[in-house]
Amino acid sequence: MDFTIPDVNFISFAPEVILLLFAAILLFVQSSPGRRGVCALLAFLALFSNILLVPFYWGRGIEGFGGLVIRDNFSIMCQTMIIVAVLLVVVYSYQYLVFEEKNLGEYYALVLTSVVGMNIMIASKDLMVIFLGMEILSMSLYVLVAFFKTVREGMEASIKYFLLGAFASALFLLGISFFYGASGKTGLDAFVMFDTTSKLAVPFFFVGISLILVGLGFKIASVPFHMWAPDAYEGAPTSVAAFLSVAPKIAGLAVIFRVGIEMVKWSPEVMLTIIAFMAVTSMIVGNFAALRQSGLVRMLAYSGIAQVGYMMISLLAIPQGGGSALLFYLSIYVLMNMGAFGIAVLLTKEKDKRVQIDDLKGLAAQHPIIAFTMAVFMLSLAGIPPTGGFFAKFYIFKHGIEAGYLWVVIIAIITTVASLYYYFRVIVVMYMSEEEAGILPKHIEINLFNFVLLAVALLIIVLGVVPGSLLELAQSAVSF
Amino acid sequence: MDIQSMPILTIIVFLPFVGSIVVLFNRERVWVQTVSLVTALLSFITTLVPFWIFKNDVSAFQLEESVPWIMSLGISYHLGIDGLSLFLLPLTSFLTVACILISWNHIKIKEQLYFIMFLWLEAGVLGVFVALDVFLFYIFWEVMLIPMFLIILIWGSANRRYAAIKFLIYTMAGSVFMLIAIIVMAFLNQKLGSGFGFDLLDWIKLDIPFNLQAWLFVAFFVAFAIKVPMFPFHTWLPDAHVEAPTAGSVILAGILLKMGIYGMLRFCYPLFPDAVVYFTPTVIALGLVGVIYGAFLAFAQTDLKKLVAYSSISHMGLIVVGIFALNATGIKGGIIQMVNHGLSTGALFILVGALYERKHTRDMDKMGGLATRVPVLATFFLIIVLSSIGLPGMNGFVGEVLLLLGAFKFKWWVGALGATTLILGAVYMLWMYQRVMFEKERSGSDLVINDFCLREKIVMVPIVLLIFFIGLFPAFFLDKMDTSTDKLLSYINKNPAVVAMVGTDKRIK
Repeated sequence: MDFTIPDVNFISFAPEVILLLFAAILLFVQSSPGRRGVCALLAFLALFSNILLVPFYWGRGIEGFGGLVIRDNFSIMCQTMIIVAVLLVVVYSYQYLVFEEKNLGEYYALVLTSVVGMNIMIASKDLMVIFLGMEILSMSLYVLVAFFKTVREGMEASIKYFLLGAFASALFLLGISFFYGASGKTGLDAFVMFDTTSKLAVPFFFVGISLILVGLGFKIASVPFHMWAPDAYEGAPTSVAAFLSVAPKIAGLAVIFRVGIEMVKWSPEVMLTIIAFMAVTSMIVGNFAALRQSGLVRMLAYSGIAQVGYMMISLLAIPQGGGSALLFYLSIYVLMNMGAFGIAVLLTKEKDKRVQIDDLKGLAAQHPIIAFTMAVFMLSLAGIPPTGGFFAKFYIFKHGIEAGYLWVVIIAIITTVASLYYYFRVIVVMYMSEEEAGILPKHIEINLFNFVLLAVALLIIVLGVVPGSLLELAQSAVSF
Repeated sequence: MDIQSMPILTIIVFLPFVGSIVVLFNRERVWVQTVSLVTALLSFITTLVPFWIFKNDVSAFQLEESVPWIMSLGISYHLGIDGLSLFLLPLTSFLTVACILISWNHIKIKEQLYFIMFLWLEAGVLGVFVALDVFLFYIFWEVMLIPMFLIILIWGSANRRYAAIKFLIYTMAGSVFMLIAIIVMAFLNQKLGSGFGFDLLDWIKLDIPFNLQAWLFVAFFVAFAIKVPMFPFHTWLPDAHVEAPTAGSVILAGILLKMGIYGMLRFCYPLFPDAVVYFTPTVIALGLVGVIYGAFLAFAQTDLKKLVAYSSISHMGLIVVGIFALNATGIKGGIIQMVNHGLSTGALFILVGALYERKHTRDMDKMGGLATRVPVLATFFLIIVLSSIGLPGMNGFVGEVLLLLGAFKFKWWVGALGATTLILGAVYMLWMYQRVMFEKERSGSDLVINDFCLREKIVMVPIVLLIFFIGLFPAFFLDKMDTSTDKLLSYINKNPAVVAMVGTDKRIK
């Protein structure tokens, strides 16, 4: 980390500064019943200004702090996805946290700081800076998961998440020290200069990389580091669960991609073997465990684990340009998973206890449009055309085959067939039962929330029918 | 306006979809039904247009449309028809009209969704029959699963949940393996041909090594065989048929099963000719098992719908035998029999549905003596049963004779075994007719039941007319498929193994 002080490039860090400013303002907003809208609006403004600002960095390759902050196209695309996801989280939180009047300012402030953490993770190639971002993210998330601190499940979830999360961070840090010990650097570009002849350094190096992957595997909830996910999602406020299921995965996968792209130049086998193992086990465990779930959020948690497995196939194809498949899949995943969690948020609001899949009964008869959006999200997650989820999966499979991992792709499609059962069970429950009154009231007002869900569902279909422009965007984002 | 320059096929495919949007405007029953019917009729008329333009002697695809869709992956929006798909388009739209008519005023729940689903189904199936880009084909192939799934799931009978999920998982399991094969083919096109792409016309030019052909053939073939359905993959069909509403069964038997045969001819034949020859004995053996096994199963049923479902398995088995006999007679028989089977089995399901509405049972043991009480229905039933058995002068005869001729040309004993369908079919069909229409009323109820109403007659009369038309003037259809059949065979005949197997003198042009 040999940077000189004059290289402080404020421009390279402007989006994060804006977020932090808003977060600081939010901390001073006094909680009172009328402030619900104010808090949400401030958070919304912060994110909205970010989403306007971030695209300006496209193609400029701005760097700052001696190369510690890198605004390449890849990071810009990932950040845009995260901001879109968090914008949806803000809409959900506004809808969901109606009865919770305490600490709303802190809630939104923590959401914003976690975005800062993720942005830092993505926009750097230095392991220490990445670790810094990861910790900012984790600290915010520990508190957010424990937001319902008076509820037993909430407490259980946050303790579980905190203990395992801290452990994973420690392993990540240990990995960095091995890495540093072997190469004398913390930057990921150390691979290029690394001396492969050194007998002692090579094993150190591999141990370091493995530990780094373990730490990241925890963040993206990939098997075998997934144990916390279903419990944490279920105990956390549903809006936070939605957040957990999407945004940290983007950041984690982005970092794995950055590690991978340097690693494959040097010695691809080790990295790819670990990733193949994680991908295959995630798909198998995630999909088959989801088959047995009756709780909606738990089902979505396991489905999220499986989805990460699919995304990791694209990482196997890093030398063949698999990064574009990763970005494409992530873009669709943001929409479809946030959408599905949106429905869960809607139902949780009406029911104090855990939402079961059977609670969706009669939804199609009473609220055809909401049922339609949920059907689109499920079809997309299952990878059925003409939704974006199908094209994303197709593109991932294409890259998997191109990289010579046909067996992984075959496991992927076998598990996809198994996944049809639980995704379609939601559709079955919504559309088949006629008489039973669902838990949603008969008349719900047409508000921003429903409109957002419908817009997301339509966007998924549009991206499935004309994926061309998003595809080109993803391709140009990884052409370094 | 010049009709040649219009994007006829695009209009055909998307007209039902546009109609379904119009259906959404109003929830009133009258509006929903009328708009659906008008859309279906318009769509039927547009599917007849290609008959005028179609040139019998052109072997290339006709009415082609090609627009780049996803450039960087070599995917285009490429449509076209030949003598193989020409007849399947009007069959599809015709049966859709029939389905809308027989559902008229009969749908109790989610009526709007019901008609929209039928129109989407129609659009999806028409898309399957005209797509020449394999990626596009796959999209249509998958898209039409969802409406069918929902039709069984929402409007089916008691055990519909099980049947719908079974249908979905069975068909998806086959098609995802096809997806892998499609991606591999695109890479092969990159390696051996004109770059990464999904255009069928490019793929046909490839010369694929045999071991790869064999794997790819299996991946494609299993997807199609599940759809047909062929013998070991048939178990979803009886469940789906029994639980689906009448109109759902009509579409399922009349059109969806044809997609399997269509796929075999459209993809397996030109792309993997060596593998087709290599696997012919296996496929024919499975087809024959299906013919005989399906017939015996049909014989053992007391549920009318199950009987018709198993008879479908038997008939479709014979079509597979015919098209894999590797001669023009068999292929032509297969194509025409697809249309015949769509008409007669579709009509059988309509009649069974009509009986169910009147008797509230499909159990043959609770029927009997209906001929005197519903004479018009009984007459229509008899005509359809005879057509299904293959009585000379009706459509079934033409198809079965051609198929069996093809099979005999291949190997005499294949033809002989296939011919058992004539006897077995007659046995279970006539026996069924006797039990339902003659004998004594077994249910014990002497409720008055109504004969066919005008609406039902309107549905049945065109079907009967078509049955006789195909039976008496088969040349009208067969002439149009000559060139395409020869072209399909030319892919196979490049291969010296065929010559050795079929014998030079017996190679039929």
